[in-house]
Amino acid sequence: MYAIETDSLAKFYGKSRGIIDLNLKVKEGDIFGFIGPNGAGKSTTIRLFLSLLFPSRGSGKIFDYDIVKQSTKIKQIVGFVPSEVHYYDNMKVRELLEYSARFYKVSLNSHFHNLVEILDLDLNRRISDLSMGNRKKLAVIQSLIHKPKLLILDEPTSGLDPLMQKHFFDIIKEANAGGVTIFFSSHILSEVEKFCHRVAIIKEGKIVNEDDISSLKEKAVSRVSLMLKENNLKICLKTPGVIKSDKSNNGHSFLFQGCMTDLLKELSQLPIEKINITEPSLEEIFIHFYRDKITEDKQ
Amino acid sequence: MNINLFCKELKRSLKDFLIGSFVIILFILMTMGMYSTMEDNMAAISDLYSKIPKFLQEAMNFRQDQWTSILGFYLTYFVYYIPLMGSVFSIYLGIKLLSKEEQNKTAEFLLSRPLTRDQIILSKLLVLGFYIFGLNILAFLTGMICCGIITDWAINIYSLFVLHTYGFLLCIFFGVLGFFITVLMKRAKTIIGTGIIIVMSSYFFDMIIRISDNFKFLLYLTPFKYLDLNILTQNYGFEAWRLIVFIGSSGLLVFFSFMFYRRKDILI
Repeated sequence: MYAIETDSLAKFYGKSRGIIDLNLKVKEGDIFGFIGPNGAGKSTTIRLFLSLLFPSRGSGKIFDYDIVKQSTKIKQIVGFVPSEVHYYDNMKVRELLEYSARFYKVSLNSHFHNLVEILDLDLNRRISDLSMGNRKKLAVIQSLIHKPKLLILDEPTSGLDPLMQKHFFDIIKEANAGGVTIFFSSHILSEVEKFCHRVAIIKEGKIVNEDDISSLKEKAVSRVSLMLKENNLKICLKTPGVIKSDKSNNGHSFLFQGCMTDLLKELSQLPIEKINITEPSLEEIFIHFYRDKITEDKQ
Repeated sequence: MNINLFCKELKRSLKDFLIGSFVIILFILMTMGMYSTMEDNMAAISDLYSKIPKFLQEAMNFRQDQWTSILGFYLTYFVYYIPLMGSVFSIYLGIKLLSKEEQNKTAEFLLSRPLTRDQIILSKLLVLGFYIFGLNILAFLTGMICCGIITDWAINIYSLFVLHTYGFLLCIFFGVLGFFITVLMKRAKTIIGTGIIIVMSSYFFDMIIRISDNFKFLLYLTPFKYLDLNILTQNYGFEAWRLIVFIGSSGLLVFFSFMFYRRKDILI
């Protein structure tokens, strides 16, 4: 059984697209990254999972419950941290948490007090007085009080300072170690890179790739940095797969996706002082994908 | 119904209810207090009023013979405090209960709790009904006590009850109409002003119908026309067709509210 499974899930707002034929499979216990730029369809996807929106076509299941017909059962086992936290401003933090807990028929137990202590949240403050970061902490706590099986996080770290981000990731990892599946939507690629097992990239409402983080990196590009013995030497590499080249004094750096042996053969002809081949960051992979897809679309 | 949501909404709208009730009770007390001071000179005042042009008398819901009894006097002002002010309160609350969630973006929180859409609608409609009922009960009791004290309880309480029940049904209609309009809204925006305009226009149409027979077609656009204000006539009581009109139209609005909200996209 998958934690999340969608089949050609699509949402249109009139003629505008939300998401198009989304096919996702998230295994139980996974930490699944969902990345894409603003407006790509991440929040639409999440809102479809939570029945805030209804699909234009296709279907989706969460732990085998249909996202349209059995949404109440889904919400009972899902915790959700929204990208922008909007709660009832006139309520106090404790009141909101108690209000939320009553929907799940749970009480604020030691697990809850532990979370409050770790995230250092004042329960007696009014929500209207909370900073963006504190609102986010509140959202994280309320998403966990009923011990969900699936945690849906929509840009969860925005507004949190680095120390709180660390605490947040510790909490999430602990939850995952306890069997909670994590669906992590973000546009901060380094977070996804560090944190997730698998990742799907969404662009303009479509999934452009879904893979393990490691496979994604392998399939993608390498960053090659060269230091030449001679300044201002112009080089023109013929090996297919050189993507983007930057030059500075006697240094050259480029992304490469192709046969490394052929590249090294060609490079051995050059007066190289130092060569550095590194794994690209997810940021670079991401940009690479977008460029490829844009090229495909134009063709 | 979800009791947690119901209690929360009850608390959230309490202030509106208290303000609405206070204004209406104050208005009843003021007008009935006015009657006590006018009582001795009622014939002269009534004569003075009769010099007002006929169409204006109709528009103001004043008839010369009306002020000869306390219920007649009460009826003249009743139109303003329950059907008009009560309906404004009801449509305001009906709109606010749902639209505030979307406007303040708290709908995302509410709809991600384990609740069905029907539970949300039912809890909110019950809060609406509870406060409209509360407001009308307070107004009825205030009116009854005032009339009772002035006449030493020589009043027809049943007639007063029937009159207020019609007022209550009108308020319910406008409350659920406001709620229904919010359900139909595609974007979160304030429509409380629109709601008040709807009530005022309906009242205005009723006034026009009273002034001239040429505008009778407007009776389809105003529920005010279906109020039975002939409290001074013999055999004044509930008329089945009027009850059917009010209960039926409100019931339909509730039914369609449930139906449309079940599949409504919440655009935050």
